[in-house]
Amino acid sequence: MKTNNKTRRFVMMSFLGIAGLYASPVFAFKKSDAEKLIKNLTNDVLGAVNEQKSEDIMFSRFEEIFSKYADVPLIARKALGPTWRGASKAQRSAYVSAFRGYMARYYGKRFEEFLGSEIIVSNSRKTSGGFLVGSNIILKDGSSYQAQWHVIDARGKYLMYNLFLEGVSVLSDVRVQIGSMLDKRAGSIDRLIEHLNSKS
Amino acid sequence: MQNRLKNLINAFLLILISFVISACSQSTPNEFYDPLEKINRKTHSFNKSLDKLFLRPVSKVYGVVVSDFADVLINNFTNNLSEPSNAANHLLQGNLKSSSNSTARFLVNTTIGIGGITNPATRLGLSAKESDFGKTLHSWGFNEGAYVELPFYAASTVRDTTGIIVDFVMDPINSIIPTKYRPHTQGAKLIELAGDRNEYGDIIDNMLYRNEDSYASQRLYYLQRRRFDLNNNKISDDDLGNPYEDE
Repeated sequence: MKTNNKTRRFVMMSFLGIAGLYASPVFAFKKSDAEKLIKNLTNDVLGAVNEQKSEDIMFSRFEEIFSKYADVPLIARKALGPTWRGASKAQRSAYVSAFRGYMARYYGKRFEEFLGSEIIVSNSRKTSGGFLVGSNIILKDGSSYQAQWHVIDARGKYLMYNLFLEGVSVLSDVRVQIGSMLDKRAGSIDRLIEHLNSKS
Repeated sequence: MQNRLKNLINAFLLILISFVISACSQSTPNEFYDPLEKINRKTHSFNKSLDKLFLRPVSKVYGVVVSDFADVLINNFTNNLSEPSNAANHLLQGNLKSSSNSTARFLVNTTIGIGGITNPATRLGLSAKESDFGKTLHSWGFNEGAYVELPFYAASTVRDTTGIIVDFVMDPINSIIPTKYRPHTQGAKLIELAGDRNEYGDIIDNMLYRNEDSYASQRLYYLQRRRFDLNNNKISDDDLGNPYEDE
C-alpha cells in the first residue's frame, strides 16, 4: 500500500509537472502587453528628453530606462558576438555594465532630436518568440520616422530586444560599433571594457 | 532619333551586365555581399574628404543663407522634376495606379503649382510616391548584387547603380524640357544636394565623423534602409533574427 501511494504521488507530480510546462507557453503575454511596454518606454524616453536637464542627468535617466525595459545582458552579448564565449564570469558582468552606460550615451545623444516630438504606437504583429510593435515618431518639425520595436519573452518577462529605425536595426548598428572597437584593441575584452567606461 | 536608339541600346546592355553580375552572386539576406570592400573603402575615404572640404561647409552656408521657405520651394521644384521618371518606373513595375498618380502630380504641380515650386497636388490628395529604376529591377526579380560605394555619389549596390545610370540616361524629363535648360535643372539638383546634406546634417555627421567605422556604418544604414523600402516598409522574420540562438 505504501509503495502504491508513493507511485501515485510520483505519477501525480509528473502530471502536474507536465501540466505546469504547458501552462507557461512561450507566449505568456499578449500583444496589448507588448504595446503597453513600448508606450511606457517611449513616454519615459520623451519625458527624460523634455525635462531638458544636463546631459549627464539625461544619460543616467536613459540608463535606468534601458535597464528597466530592455534585455540588456542579451543585447550586450549579441553585440559582442563570439568573444562572449571566451570571456570569464567577471569579464562578462563588467562588460554588461560598461555596455549599459555606453548605450545610454551613444543613443542618448541621438535622442536629443526627439525634443517635443510625439510617438504613436500602432500596427503590431506577432513573431516567433515575441512581438514586433510598430510606431511612428513625429518630430517637432512635422517629419516622421517609422520605428519598430522587437519585444521578446525574456525568461518569463517581456522586454525590448531590438529597435528598427526606418528599417535599420539598432542591434546591427551597435554590433558594428563594438566590433570595430574590439578590432582596434586586438580583440581584448578588458581593453574594450576600459574604453566603454572611459565615456569617450 | 539615332541618339535615342543609342541610349536604348546602352540601357539594355547595362541591364544585361547587372543581370550577369547579380546572377553570379548568391542572395544572402542578412549578410552583406561586399567583394569590393578594399576598393570601396578607398572610395569611402575619398568621398569623406569631399564631404569635409566641400559638401559639409557648403551645406552649412545653405543652412544660414537659404530660408526655410526657399528650401521648401527648391525641394518642391526638384521633386517635381523627378515625377515623369517616377511615373515611368511605376509603369514598368506594372503599377498603373501609382504611375497615373505621379503623372497627375506632375501636371498639377507644373501648371497650378507654378512650374513645380509649390505642391498643390499633395493638398488635392495626390500624395508623393517616389520610385527609381533600381526598384524596377528589384520588381523584375534582379538580385541586389554587390555593395558599391560610388565616387561622388556614396552608397549603392550593383543593381541600384544600374538604376541610377538608366534613370539618368532615360529620364523622360529630358524629352519634356528643352535641352538648353538642362544646366538649370541639374544646377537645381546640386543645390538640393546641399539642402539635403544640411537637413540630415546631424545624422550624417554622426555616421561619418563620430562612429567607430564610418564605412561599415554607412553600408549598414544604406542596405538595411533600402531593403526596408523595397519591402514596402515591412520588417521580415529574417530581419528579426533569433534572439535565443547562441553564437
